[in-house]
Amino acid sequence: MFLDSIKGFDRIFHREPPEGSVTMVVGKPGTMKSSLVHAILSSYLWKNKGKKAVYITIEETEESHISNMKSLGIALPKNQYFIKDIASFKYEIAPTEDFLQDDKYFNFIISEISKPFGLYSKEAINDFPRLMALDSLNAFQTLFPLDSRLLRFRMQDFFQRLRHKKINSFIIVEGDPDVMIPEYFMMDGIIEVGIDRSHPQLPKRYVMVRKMRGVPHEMAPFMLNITKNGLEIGEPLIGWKR
Amino acid sequence: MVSKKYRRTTIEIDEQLYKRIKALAVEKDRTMRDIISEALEEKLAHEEEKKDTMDSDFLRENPISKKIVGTMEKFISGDAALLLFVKKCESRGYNPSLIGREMLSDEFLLSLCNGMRYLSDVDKSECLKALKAAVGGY
Repeated sequence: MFLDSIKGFDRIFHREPPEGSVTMVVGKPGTMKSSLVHAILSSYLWKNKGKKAVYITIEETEESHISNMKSLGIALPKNQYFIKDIASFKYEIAPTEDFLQDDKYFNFIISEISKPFGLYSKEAINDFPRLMALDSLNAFQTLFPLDSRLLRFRMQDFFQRLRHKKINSFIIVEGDPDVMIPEYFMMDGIIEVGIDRSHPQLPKRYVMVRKMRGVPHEMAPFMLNITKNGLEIGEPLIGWKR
Repeated sequence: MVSKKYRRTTIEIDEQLYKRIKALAVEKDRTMRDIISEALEEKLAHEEEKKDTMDSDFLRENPISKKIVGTMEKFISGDAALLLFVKKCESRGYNPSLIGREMLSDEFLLSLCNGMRYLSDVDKSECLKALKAAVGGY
């Protein structure tokens, strides 16, 4: 999927990750995590007409995502790409505080996220999307007043179901990639995005694969370039400093 | 038969209540542990049942509401369908248990479709058609 998406991923991956891989995209604010995922998914879909993707946004509205993508020259293929806008839906239903603090809200979010893929459904769903993005794990987790172990257990179950259905998933996480979080262990892949500031006058965006199960890949950071046609993976960064 | 696992815990309870539990245990020739466990099981089951039915009672009471929510569930999750339907009823001052066909204007049904639009890629006219068909075209 990566090799068939944005230009230059073949510099990093030597072959495709297995189907059903759950990949975390992690980076500090403003490092283009969402944009990278939109770019990967949309460029893959433009080349694979029969495929579908669902991008789930919990914090930022669909309108805002579309406007950002437009400014970067990333076109989202209409009939194949669906942004599930939980942020706007939440505004629409204006839930009460009681409701938000209840398990019901968690159940609602889980039901909605899993609905297109039939993850918890007994009925078989044919033709479900094989690509999914969740933006973001932080937003997802902070919404729930659950015991963190219970939440993690449910997350693990959720990821397992995605793998089982061979849905390639991207989980966006905002944070310092060097600060270990338990979710790192649940992932098949971890892609770090960041900004190289070795030359303060000329900061450069980069993408670095920290982990990808079942795939030989480069470990070095590679430049993430913004071109008029969207994002591209460029040359490896030389003399890189975090 | 699978034997139950028990966990030791310490709680403080009202002295009179303690005496009543003890007396009941003697009367029934059972342990206090069994009496307390049974009472807690009943309480928890009752609370869970209450929680499950709290928001969806109207579905049993009103077949029109049930049909609409059932149709919405084709496009969005059951939880989201319930939430959205109740919210849209509330905003119009409708009681979901007392929904009648005369209340189902296109404008009301479209407001449901607009809300669903955030969670589903269903086309607005297809959505309206499905909701109208569910309640018999009216």
